[in-house]
Amino acid sequence: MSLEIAHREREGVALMDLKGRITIGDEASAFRAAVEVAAAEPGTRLLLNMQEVDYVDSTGLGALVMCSSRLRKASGVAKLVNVNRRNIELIVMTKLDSIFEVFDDETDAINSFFPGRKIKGFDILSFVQHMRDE
Amino acid sequence: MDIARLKVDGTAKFNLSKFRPDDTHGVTKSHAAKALPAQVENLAALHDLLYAEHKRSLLIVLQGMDAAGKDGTIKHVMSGVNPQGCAVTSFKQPSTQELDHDFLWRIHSAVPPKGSIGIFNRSCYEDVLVARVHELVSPAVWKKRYEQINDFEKSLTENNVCILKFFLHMSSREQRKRFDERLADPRKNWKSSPADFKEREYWDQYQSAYQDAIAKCGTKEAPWYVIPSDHKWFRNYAVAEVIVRTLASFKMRYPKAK
Repeated sequence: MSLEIAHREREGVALMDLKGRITIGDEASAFRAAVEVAAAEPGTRLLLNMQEVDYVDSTGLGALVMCSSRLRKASGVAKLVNVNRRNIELIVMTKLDSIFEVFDDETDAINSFFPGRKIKGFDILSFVQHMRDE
Repeated sequence: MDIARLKVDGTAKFNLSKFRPDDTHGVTKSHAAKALPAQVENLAALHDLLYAEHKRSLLIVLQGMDAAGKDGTIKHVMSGVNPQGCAVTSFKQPSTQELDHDFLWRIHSAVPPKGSIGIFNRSCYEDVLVARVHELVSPAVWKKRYEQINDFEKSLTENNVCILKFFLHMSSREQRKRFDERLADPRKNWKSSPADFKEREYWDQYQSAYQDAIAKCGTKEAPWYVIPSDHKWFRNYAVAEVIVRTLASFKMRYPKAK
């Protein structure tokens, strides 16, 4: 299987470091299973570190959408951080930015879970426009 | 091709899993490539008669999973039809006003008038599909809807509305292929939406819901046609065949000048 999932925690926020591909088959299944475990506890705040995710297909996108709705159902929330250039384009193209907050810095992403903390934020649409202008 | 093999009208027990999405019923791609343009022309001529005669209307209902080709079928099969006597209505998520009425209200108001063809891109069947899969209403509510739909369709047919319902039957594998194509092709990127990927996760539940909708609402008055849709060329060919043969069976005549 070409998806590794490592679990960490920062200030009560569950982190999944994903490495490899989120694609049809064992990869998407393993990801879904990991989300199920995370969502078992109501109110889970989950940050998916996408830094080393090199490919997501339509099934992987489905698993990401499911992750978001599964956590919301359990009064939780999922966000994305360190999404590479290719996957950022994919997220914008498929309008997944309408359901996921996306960050380019882990500390900023963690802070976003705490109302009142200052965050610099990440404007995904400006980022994509900037990439296209380059 | 024997279109009766595609038809579900309540005369035999229906089992969706017995219908292969990649079936081509012995039709070759080259035959379909020649036959479709001819049927598109026939359809245009029959539509002209329907319009002139002004006695009845044709309602075409298209249902299918995302990427099954509802838009593509309209584009390819209806390309020769005079826009003056044809209207396409896409039923998306109901508005607040629509939700304030019974579920058939918005459907009834879009039924084609005499002389016209109406195409429903999705329909009241969403109210026993998406509403059931996502538990938007209780089972007690959606279970009653099959009979309500049958009564509604019977009343339309008794008022000279001919109803043809097409289920564009596609495999899960083919849907994944088409979704991946949408992601890879910049000309198709715009078609992708998070809802598509989410709905795909409910594939099995949707297949069960379709099984029941087709089994319970396939009637002599308003039959379902299960169209194998893994091959786009066969899907277009089969839908055109059913529509043309149905219109031809009306034995329509141009009215005499008054």
